[in-house]
Amino acid sequence: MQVSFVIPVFNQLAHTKACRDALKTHVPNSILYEVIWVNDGSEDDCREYLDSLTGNHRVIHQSHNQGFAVATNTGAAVARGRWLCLLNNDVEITAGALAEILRVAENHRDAGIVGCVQVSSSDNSVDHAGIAFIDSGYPIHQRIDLETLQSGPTDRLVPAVTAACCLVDQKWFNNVGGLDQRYRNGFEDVDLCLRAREAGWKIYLANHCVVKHAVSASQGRGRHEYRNAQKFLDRWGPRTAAIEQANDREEARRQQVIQARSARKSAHAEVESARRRILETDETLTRQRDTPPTIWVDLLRMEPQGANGGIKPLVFGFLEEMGNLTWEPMQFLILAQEGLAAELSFLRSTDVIALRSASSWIIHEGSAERRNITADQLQAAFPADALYCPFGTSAFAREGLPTVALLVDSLHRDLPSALPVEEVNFREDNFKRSIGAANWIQTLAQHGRDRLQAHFDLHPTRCFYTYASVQDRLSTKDDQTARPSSLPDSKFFFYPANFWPHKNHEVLLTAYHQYRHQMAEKAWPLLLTGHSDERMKNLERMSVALGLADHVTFAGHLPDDAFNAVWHFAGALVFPSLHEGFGIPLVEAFQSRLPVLAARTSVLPEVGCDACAWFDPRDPHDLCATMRIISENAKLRDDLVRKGERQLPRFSRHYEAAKLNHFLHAAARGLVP
Amino acid sequence: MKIGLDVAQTSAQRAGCAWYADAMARAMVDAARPAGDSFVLYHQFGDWINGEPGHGTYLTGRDIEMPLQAILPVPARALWREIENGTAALPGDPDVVIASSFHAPRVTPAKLIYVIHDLVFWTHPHFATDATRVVCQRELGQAIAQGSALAFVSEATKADFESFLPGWLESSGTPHVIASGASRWPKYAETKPREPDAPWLMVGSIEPRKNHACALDAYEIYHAESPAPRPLHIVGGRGWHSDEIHGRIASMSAAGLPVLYRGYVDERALRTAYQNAFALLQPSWHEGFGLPVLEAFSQSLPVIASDCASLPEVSGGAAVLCPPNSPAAWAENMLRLERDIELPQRLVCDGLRRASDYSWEKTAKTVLELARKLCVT
Repeated sequence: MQVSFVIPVFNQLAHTKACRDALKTHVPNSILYEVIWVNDGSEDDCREYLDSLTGNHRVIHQSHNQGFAVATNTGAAVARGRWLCLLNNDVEITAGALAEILRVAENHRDAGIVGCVQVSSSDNSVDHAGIAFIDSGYPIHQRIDLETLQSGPTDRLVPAVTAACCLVDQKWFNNVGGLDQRYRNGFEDVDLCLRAREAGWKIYLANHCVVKHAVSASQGRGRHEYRNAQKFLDRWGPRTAAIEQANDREEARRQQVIQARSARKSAHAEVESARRRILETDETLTRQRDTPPTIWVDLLRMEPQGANGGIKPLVFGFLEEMGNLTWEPMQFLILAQEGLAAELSFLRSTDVIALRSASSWIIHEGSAERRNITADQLQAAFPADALYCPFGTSAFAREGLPTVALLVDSLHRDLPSALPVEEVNFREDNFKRSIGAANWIQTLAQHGRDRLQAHFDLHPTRCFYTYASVQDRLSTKDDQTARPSSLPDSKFFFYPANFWPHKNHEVLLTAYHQYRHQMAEKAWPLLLTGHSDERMKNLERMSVALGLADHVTFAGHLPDDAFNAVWHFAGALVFPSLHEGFGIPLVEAFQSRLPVLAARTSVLPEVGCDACAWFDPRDPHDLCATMRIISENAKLRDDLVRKGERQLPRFSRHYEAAKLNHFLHAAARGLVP
Repeated sequence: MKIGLDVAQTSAQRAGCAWYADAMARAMVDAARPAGDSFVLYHQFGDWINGEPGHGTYLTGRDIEMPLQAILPVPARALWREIENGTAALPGDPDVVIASSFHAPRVTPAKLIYVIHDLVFWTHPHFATDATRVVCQRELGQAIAQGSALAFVSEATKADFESFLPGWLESSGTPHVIASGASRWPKYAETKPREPDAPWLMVGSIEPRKNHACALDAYEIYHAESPAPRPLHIVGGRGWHSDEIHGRIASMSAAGLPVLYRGYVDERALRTAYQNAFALLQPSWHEGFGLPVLEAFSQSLPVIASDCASLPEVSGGAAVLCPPNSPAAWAENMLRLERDIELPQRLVCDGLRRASDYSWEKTAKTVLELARKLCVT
């Protein structure tokens, strides 16, 4: 089956009949096709008419009108063709149109969506020849006159096309869930095209394929215009200018290559060398597109289990998500200590893991294992196109190897007294070398970028930031979870943080003592998790000395399931840290529907916005008052939970990983500042 | 009994707490020596490691050890880490250690008496750097954790402490005393009027908490209104966020106002400054104790002080009190002090009397009693 037409119908019997007749007349017998009619709750005679159709026609009835997106997706779900032809019931195809659009689609293996020229059935003027964007990102139809189109090339790249009549790769369409059903009769087609572009497809317009369109004859279009536009602009608005520009550049280059290919060898040396250059560049680009670059990821400084704090789940999350991306694919070579092997099992089977044993490397490639590999052999077998250093510096950095380094926070400069002096010196050295050697520096928020600029005069164009996001394990709240006996019986305050001085546990314990003094038995207990060390024991002694032994629990580092249970049963997250690179627990709390009390310092306001109860972490009185308000006021807690959920879309793992992926890919291609 | 004394702060440029540590060490030696007690002085203490050894309080006598006086910073740091891990013994093996530099390392089996100078890092967070706060709160936590006895330098500081941990001193039974500072000099009684060009004096490092801005504002008003304005002398090291004040001073003196920044001065020069000044201005937003007030009293210098924190307590009615947010009130009192011939004389007398309410002998006796009680139990 080559083509499945999917045609939603909502009333308009005359148009529907004309559409059907055009198909019958103009689709050649050589093309295998099916027609799926989706009756979207029509109120006129359409129902009977559709039921009367036989042969390769199928009809799906929907009891009430649900709009274009739902109807199309319903139809597409049962389609069997290689291509979907999305068609409005007020479109009539013309002679040769289908053959032409198919020819364009088959000619380009990167074609995800192919549109066609639509002329108005009333006056034969061109109504649509691709989509362009005006400044704000609002889509408009390109209207180029028919003669120009007919005399030009058979196809061209466009930013987007309408779904009044277009071909879409059927498998991809169904895989991504089809049209976005949040739109109602408008913009869903442009949105689909932009998503296709993001997934690496190209959008072509078949210049010589013309269909007739009774423009927007369907009822109830204008009603949703404002809301649709708002959704679209929120999602794509700021990016459309860049998309359009990239599209035009790509199209110009493509035409150049076509010309260079078809032109004969020129007698003029200069013309000839220009022609050669164009063809060579094209070859390089094609080759690059077909072979993913190799990125070395240096995780040698990563320790097993919890000693690294939040950085480990963060980096693993990025690696996993980048593995799922379908565009700008990359081959990762993960360099790690031998002890980390078990924790790396989440990686794709295509990624290579190189584990450092005492004197040599052990390579895991798929299920194969090779031992006793020297560093030179490693470099020869997997030549690096770029290096990614989540821990700042790397022993593998060298002249000419593009490098991206992650610098999580500037704690040693902002709050040096929180670290032992040796650690301050080590970090300073690490930062200077990273900033000196890396082409791009990654931070975890705008705040981190500003601090690097303030402390090290790092130019903002050399620095990008990716927000951290939460692992999916926390995203579902299963009410069946049993309460572990180690947890307090009632709601409790929860602070997950290693016991580092800048995490400010002293203020928390002091404020908690006050809070307990004021609230007596009505006070919530406090649970502290974090890697157990000497300082934790000190704080535990402090808590005991303050008479809080029965109310404050020091739980140490918890395994995943116990940790999830804590998120599940806690009453609120309290986060008094004086300094953070990002503050992942805030987002985890939003996702676990926990109200958050957070310190009004460093990056936290950027992450939490209006969704936290803010306090001054330097003032125990303020923290105590905030704890009181939160534990006493259920309405405020609900309000914070709601606001927290509203922040979640800002922390899309997919989007942030795509951003990192983009910079790594660009580095690997040598496109560095 | 062997008494350990933390004099780590005295090795650097000395501010209030360092003078306190120095005077405390001397007074303790004087008070406890007759009973046959011996002493260990720590010039490197816990996390307070001095970069340049060889300075600091220096006392002599067979009963005095100074094991860390000449030790370099790197081995000193290593040694203290071992002491805190329990892998090395505390040099000198004292029975009790008096910690007066905000640091509370683990000194077991010795008992720790932890001196609390102030809680500015929590009561007025904007007047302390994050670096100071992280250290101070960590060490306070450690002091509480190891069940140290506490010595507050004033009732006001104790009240601040109780506001953060209400009821705790009593419920936990933590031994505590008030161990106030005192003037380190003998009294200098001088009742005759000061020279006509004797200056107004400010003592204290230049930092936001000391509220130099108020004094400078007040001085501008005063200078405009006084028939024969006296100069203003500012004494004290450069603290944090002091650029603005230095800028002000520079522009005021450029405009012809006799404002002089004298920088950090040594002990003898400071005493002379007190003796030759007209009056002390102490407009701080917060003081744990306010040593300059007592020192001024003891040198027959009238004082105008702010009505905040420990200052009303320490001045005990012998100083003119003014709100620190009102330069106009300060100017008015400065003019009054200049016009009224009897007022300065009365203030000098009251001040001398008040100064003798405090003495290092008394403080040392209080602390010594506490130490003995700790060692018995």
